[in-house]
Amino acid sequence: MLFNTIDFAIFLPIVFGLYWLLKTTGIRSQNFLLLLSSYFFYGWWDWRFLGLILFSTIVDFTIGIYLEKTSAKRHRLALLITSLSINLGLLFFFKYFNFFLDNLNSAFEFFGEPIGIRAAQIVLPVGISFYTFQTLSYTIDIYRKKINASKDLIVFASFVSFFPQLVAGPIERASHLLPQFERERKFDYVSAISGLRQILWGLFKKVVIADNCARVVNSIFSNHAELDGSHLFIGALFFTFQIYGDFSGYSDIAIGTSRLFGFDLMKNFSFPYFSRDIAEFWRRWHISLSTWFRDYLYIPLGGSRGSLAKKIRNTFIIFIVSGFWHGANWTFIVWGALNALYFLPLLLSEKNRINMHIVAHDRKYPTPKELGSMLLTFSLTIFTWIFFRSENLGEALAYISGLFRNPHSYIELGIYLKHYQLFLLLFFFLVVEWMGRKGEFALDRLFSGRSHYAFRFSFYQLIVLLIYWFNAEQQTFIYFQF
Amino acid sequence: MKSFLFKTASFLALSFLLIALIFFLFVRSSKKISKEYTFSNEHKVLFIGDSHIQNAIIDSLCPGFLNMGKNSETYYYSYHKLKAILATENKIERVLLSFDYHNLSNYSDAFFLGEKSPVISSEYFHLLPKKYQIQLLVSNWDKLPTFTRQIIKESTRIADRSNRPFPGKFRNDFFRTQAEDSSIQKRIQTQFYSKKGLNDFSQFNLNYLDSIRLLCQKKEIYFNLIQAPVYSDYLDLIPEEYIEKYRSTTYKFSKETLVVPFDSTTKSYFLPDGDHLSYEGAEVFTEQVLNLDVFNCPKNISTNKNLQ
Repeated sequence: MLFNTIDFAIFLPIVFGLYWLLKTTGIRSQNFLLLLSSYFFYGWWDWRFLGLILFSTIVDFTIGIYLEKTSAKRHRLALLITSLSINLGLLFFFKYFNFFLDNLNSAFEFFGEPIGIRAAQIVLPVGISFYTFQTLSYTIDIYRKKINASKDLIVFASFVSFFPQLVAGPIERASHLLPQFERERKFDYVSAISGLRQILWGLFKKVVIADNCARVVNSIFSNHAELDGSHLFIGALFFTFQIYGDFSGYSDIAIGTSRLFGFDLMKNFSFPYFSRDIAEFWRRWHISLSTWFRDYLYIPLGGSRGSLAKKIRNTFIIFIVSGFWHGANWTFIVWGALNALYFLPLLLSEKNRINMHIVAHDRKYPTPKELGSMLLTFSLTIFTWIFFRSENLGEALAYISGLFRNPHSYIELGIYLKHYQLFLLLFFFLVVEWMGRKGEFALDRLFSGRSHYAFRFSFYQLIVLLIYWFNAEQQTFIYFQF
Repeated sequence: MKSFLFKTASFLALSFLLIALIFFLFVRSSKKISKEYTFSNEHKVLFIGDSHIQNAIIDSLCPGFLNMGKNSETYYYSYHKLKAILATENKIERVLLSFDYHNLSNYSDAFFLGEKSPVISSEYFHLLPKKYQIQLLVSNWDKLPTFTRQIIKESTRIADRSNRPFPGKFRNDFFRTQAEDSSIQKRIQTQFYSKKGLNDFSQFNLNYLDSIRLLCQKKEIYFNLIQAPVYSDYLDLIPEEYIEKYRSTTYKFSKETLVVPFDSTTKSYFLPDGDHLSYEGAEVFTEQVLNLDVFNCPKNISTNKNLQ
């Protein structure tokens, strides 16, 4: 079920109503309702893969209990390896099997010994990377004795399949989300209203920004060989907004929806396009994944400590693995490697932690230097997104070389005027994001204490109207495929 | 909780009312414009139907002709469009309705209440009676935002008074095309077959064919059926049942059916699907239509006396 459909608009109020009606009967029945709703939500897309979630849930629940009971180091390690093998094995099979097969075929062909193994017909289950990483964090944290194993299968299953964040995150840590299922939830008016605002803004980002950009982007990327550089630049620029609107929009709706049920999910995006360097960008983009890799991969590898070679190795590993997490394609690996290249100079010169606060946090406008840094970081990001969006490396390189085709076209106003409506929407979007950058999300503290109620009300109605009017052809969320 | 529910419900209700208000104002305005619209005095002969006739008659070649064919227009839409036109228009002397084999197939029933309904019906919405408007809104409830928005967009087009408030006009951008076997096969499959096998006849369409004839009779306007040519290979692939049904229907309308001589074996007269005329084919076909006995075009089409 997609968030931006009538189906979800019907599903959500029903579950919300039943959930709070069940409050008097206790958290167990509320959790059970959430579990059923989550399976229904997921099964709406394809019920066949419910079995996979159920299997993963039972495996990790059982291993978690045994891990806690066992004190022998060898046994604990064996249990951890079992959990990792099963979870990563499933992920590998569904997501990476054909990729490895293709590359194996290519390698043998290169050496003149073609083996010609056929690719398998495998359907990628939606959200497998997200819930796999969530359950992995659970097992690893028990192994590290950071958390206790859950003794309640309903609670644990609800944690794994919690519908707002099941298919595209944020990837929650067991230490943060699991206890919320174990304690009584109270309806909090302020939090619920804030949740609705976040849903509204998430919908705007997805439906108005991402889906409208997608129309132009799809057409430009599929015809890039025949288009001038200026068109390709517009395609890359719009994709930069599409991916942000799409993914952060999903996260906003997920977090907002959770708030309606008394849950607090972690922040996943924090105005990444206002970053002044790549290190700051990665602290603000897909935070739940970046911190996951930091805690479970980068730090165990030694992090930024140790020799120069080790620092470089660790940086490349984390960025390349992060790229590969997105999909079984060399384009994602190059995307990760490019980000590592951007990041390394900052790490090595120890400038990777100089921009910890949001830009102009005590001012209205940025300084010229800040503006320059933001534009530079933004431009570097646009470049990397070309790899992310392209079908293969050849297409990405052709696209990049196409950016220099007929350079005179860059000064033809007509090309930009053709998309004037979308530029105006993006301008509105950026203004609102800029004004709201000090909050958890753009509308969070946009009007705090200084605007008349009627003004705020009208502004939200305007957003609804914009969503209604610019609702482009429905596109699925990009991150569902990951 | 009560306060939350009340505020949320009020907010959503207001959003809904606001959009509903905009929607109804626009639909009303389109209806009003269509009621006030008058055609040019020279238009005496009206061609209506779907893309077949839309592509086929180059009305600029004859001042009396007005081609108001529109792609995917089924007889249900043609009927309501014609009814709205004739409600205020008294200069039209003859209506020629496109009638081809595919008009018998029920594949086009989906254009009214099926999956293609939101796209197609939005242009006709303001011309439909209230009960059908409600029927369309209810049947498209899951696509309501897109559907209503398309209707509003259509209304803004109509509000620009340089456009006619009725959908349809001659359009053919197909130069140097020719019929191709693979496209013909696909077209035949789309129009006459589904997963279940041969499509049933569309009683819905046939009923409205009768309604159009009755409407013209009531308004004392000449009514004719006209067939836009199809490529010979396409014709060969039409299922026998449809050939038979077409024969029996044209027999029923024998007085009204016009036969236009045309060379259906020249590939370049057609689009790749073999089912529509290319611009070159349209030129030839229009010329043939002009030579029909019922017209004395282009010399003097402008009076009733010249119409048989």
